[in-house]
Amino acid sequence: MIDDVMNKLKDIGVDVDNTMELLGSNTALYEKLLTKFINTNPNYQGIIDSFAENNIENAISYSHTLKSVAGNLGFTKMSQISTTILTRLRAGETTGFEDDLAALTEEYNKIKSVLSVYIS
Amino acid sequence: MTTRKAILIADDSEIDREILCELFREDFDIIEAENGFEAISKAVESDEKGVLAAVILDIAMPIISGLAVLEELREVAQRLPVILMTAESTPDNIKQGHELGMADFIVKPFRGYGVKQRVHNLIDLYEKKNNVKILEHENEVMQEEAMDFEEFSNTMIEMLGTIIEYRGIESGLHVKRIRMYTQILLECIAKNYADYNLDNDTIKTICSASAVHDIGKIAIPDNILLKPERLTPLEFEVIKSHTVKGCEILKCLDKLKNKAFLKYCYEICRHHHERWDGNGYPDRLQGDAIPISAQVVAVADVYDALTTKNVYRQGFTHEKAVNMILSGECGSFSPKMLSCLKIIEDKYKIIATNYADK
Repeated sequence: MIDDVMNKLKDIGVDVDNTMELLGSNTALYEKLLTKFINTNPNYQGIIDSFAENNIENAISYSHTLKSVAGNLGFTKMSQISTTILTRLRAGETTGFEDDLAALTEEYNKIKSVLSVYIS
Repeated sequence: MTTRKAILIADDSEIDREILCELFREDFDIIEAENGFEAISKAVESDEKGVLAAVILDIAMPIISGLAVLEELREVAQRLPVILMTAESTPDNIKQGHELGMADFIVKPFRGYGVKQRVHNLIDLYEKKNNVKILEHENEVMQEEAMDFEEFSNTMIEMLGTIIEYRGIESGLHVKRIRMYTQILLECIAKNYADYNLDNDTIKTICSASAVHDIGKIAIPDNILLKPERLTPLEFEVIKSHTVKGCEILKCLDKLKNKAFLKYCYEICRHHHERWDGNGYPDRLQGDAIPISAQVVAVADVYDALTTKNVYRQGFTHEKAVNMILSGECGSFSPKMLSCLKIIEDKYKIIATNYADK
């Protein structure tokens, strides 16, 4: 199953190869981490909720973490968007994040679709 | 068997933590912490057990940040690598990290193989650094022991000199003068004749060894050694045997590790009555077959004998003593030795005056 998931992730632009190098080609671990991401990782939803509640401090914290987690799993575009959000928040911006959040959600949904087989 | 070491990984992100654990699990035990408080507590505990190899800290952690943890672990960071991780490598973070003693920082997200190798390299580097410190400490201890040994050796030599003095053979000042004359002449030879390879350590050792040049006289009967009149030829032969007898006495120093010192003691004791022209004793060595240590002590000994009062006569003046040596009237020495004597004779005069027997 993981091989099929990895191929599909590659198709949507995920940098599977970097993560495989990081994980020493441990596909079982990658599968475990992908499952964790889609089921329990709070960072994507945390960003969305933080902006909804206008909680800038939380938004910074979640986007900081998602930047790293997404990047380490090969979700390069998601990591980049998180970086953009984080940078803007650090610069003191508090409004005008609609496009970034939309792009983040679109990316998240693509990944979620591929990882739906792991959703519990 | 070497104890397996541990790496502490502190990150509130479970996924990032798990990735790092995977990187190092093969070679290290892994200790995990989810926040800064837990990181401090686990780091201290494992360090006290002596099992900690490295600490990897995320900067952005709840309760206590990675930088605050590093501040608490400053002493640990001097002995083993504490590596900071951050998704935002700002100049302030990096600067503060360095000031607090971090070994390196890793930017998140991680890039492939590099993370694992950097941490391994840092662990190796700190181990070698710690080993160097241990070796430096051991070297200091050895140097102290060497100094203690040197002090012991000097004490032994002074003791031998005192024995000779109490036996009535030589005055304590004679031993001191011989040492000083020897040093001055050696330094002049070292400066002008590099082929003798006289470095500072060698000069120092020969000077120490000069104190035992007449130790063999302990074995000479008093009725001959202390006889006020001129010696008979037979009695003179007995006196001459002090060179060889001295070497027998020196066998008690055979266990000394400082073989160079022992060698010079033997050379000086046996050969300080040889002559450049080969007519000396006990071995009738000629020219530079006579060890340089013995050649120099011979000059010192003859000069001291000439300028010191004895049972037969008053001491000669410095000028007369020097002339007697340079002309060959008293002793037979190498041209290089005599050339140096001419250069440094004023210093001999000062010593002869300031350290004269009372």
